[in-house]
Amino acid sequence: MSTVQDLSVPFSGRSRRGAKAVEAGEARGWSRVPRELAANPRMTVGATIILVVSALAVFAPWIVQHPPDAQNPVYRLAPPSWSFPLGGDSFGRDTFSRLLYAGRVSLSVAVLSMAITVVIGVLVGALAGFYGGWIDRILMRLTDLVLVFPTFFLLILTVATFGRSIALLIFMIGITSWPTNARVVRAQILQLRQHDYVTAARVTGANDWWVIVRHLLPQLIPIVIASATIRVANNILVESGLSYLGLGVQPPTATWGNMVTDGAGFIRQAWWLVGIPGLAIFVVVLAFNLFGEGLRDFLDPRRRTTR
Amino acid sequence: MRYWLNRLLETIPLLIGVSVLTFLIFRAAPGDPVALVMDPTMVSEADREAVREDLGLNKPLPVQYVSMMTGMVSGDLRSFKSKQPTMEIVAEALPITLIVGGAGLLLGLLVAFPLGTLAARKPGGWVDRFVSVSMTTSLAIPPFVLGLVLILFFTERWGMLPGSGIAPIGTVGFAGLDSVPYLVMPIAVVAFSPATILARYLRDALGSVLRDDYVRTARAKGLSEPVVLSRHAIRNAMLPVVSLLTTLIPVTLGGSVIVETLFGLPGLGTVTTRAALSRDYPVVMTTVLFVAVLTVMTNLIIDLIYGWIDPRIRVQ
Repeated sequence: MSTVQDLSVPFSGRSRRGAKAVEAGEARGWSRVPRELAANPRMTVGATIILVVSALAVFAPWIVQHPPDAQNPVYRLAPPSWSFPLGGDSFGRDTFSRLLYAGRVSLSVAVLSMAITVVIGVLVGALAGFYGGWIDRILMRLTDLVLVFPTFFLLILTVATFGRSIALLIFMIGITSWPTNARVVRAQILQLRQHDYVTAARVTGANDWWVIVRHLLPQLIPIVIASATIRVANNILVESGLSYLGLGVQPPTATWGNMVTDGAGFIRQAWWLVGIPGLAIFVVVLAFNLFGEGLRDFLDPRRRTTR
Repeated sequence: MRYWLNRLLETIPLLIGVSVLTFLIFRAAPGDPVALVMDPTMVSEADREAVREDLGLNKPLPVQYVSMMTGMVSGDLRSFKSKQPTMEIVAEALPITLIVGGAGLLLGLLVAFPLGTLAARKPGGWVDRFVSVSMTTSLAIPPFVLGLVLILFFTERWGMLPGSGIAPIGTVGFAGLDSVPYLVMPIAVVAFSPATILARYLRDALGSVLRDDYVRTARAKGLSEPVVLSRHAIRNAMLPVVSLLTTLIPVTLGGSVIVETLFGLPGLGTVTTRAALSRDYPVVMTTVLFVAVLTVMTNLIIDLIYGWIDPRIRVQ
């Protein structure tokens, strides 16, 4: 799927420094991550926010005072108070509680669909890049096809056909968003497969699968993580957009998107009903983007110097 | 000429692929497809059989596919809510989507150009930093939240702009320029993130071009800075910006669903969402296909522009 997120900064290929490190057989990436985190404020800020938000979502049942769906008419559109830290919504439900529970849904949808994207993207990209020829041509045509398909309209089409369900949402977001990941992986594999150690592995009798899985893919892990992180950010936006339209996660299950929809009707009296979930989406998406872009720049020093 | 022709031919398998996929999703629907395409009030078995006959559901899949496609073009495929041919519905909704999307992208370009150029002229300066930060920020703001914030201030608080209620183009209530205020906020929302992304791309591209030898030569010849920029640097820097449009256009079309719903604009997005929610299947299918065709076509046009800016591409 073509999305704004993919545009942020394109991969400009593996750096010269990186290529040298690869040739030298240095296990790059992992050992430097902690040091780089300290030197790279974007990654640190992103990672911190991601961890805090994830913790809030995971431990939501122990944090909140009211169940997310419990209605208490007294607190209808209520301002923040001790009992309702972020006020009440139009049904008198605890906004704070709903926000955290929505985080569980929004984050799991985004992460699970990202997992589908990564699996398909890596598989398609690796096969296309490694084999080239007609396999490459067919797979890249398929990639073009998915890229061209108006994702949002496609999602609406499937919802219209199969009805709303979280599983379908995860599946559809996942299988429409892999093309950019596939292209990234393919470009990397195209470069890596020319190295001598690949030929060496072949000479020792390793079959294609072994070369791809043991020699090529491990080197892509950092870059795949970077693009996967940005993918999560994008998936949160897609899910919230669909939920906002009433085509995503079905109420009363809260997601940040449908909380905005619920609040939109009361924007004059209680703007925070839109503002709070809106801010949540903004902060979390920003955090994933900061982390992903930071990691990506770290992997490509050429980009770092242009900043 | 050969190049254009080849590019045109290459889009055909893409279009066929998109339409087959759309068709297959429809056919993959659980249960009797008649239930999907039929008005729930038509319950008699004779009616069902009529619909089945109408859709050619007794025929093999490829035949069904072809008849659905021809039905779409000829207008035999109709909405089962309004009984209007789906193509007519699309034709009515299209102008507003094109106006808002086109004007939004144009506004984005107009904002991005000065910003990107200024940022590239002074790397590390405050404009440069603003461009970088604003892109990262704008990518994280969901368009519906941005739109609601605009509505809160410009409509609810200050009463400056109408939040919704535009009359469809071609209807009695539609009155040319009077409809413009309805479009201001939607266009701003559409333009918002493309503006920042384009600025950032232009800054990156222009920044590296400005360091090229030929630019130094142009300056050494004594050409003024505006001439160096406009005649020499920008043209080369435009390539990545133009190719970025191939990604921005489908994103904008997709975003139109949200923007139109938010501001109550009767465009393709609203039509699709409404039809999806009421399971008006033929309409959804037609709009999805139409948007796909639109995307493929704009991609083609951008490729042509690309080849025009940089003749080297045509040779390959």
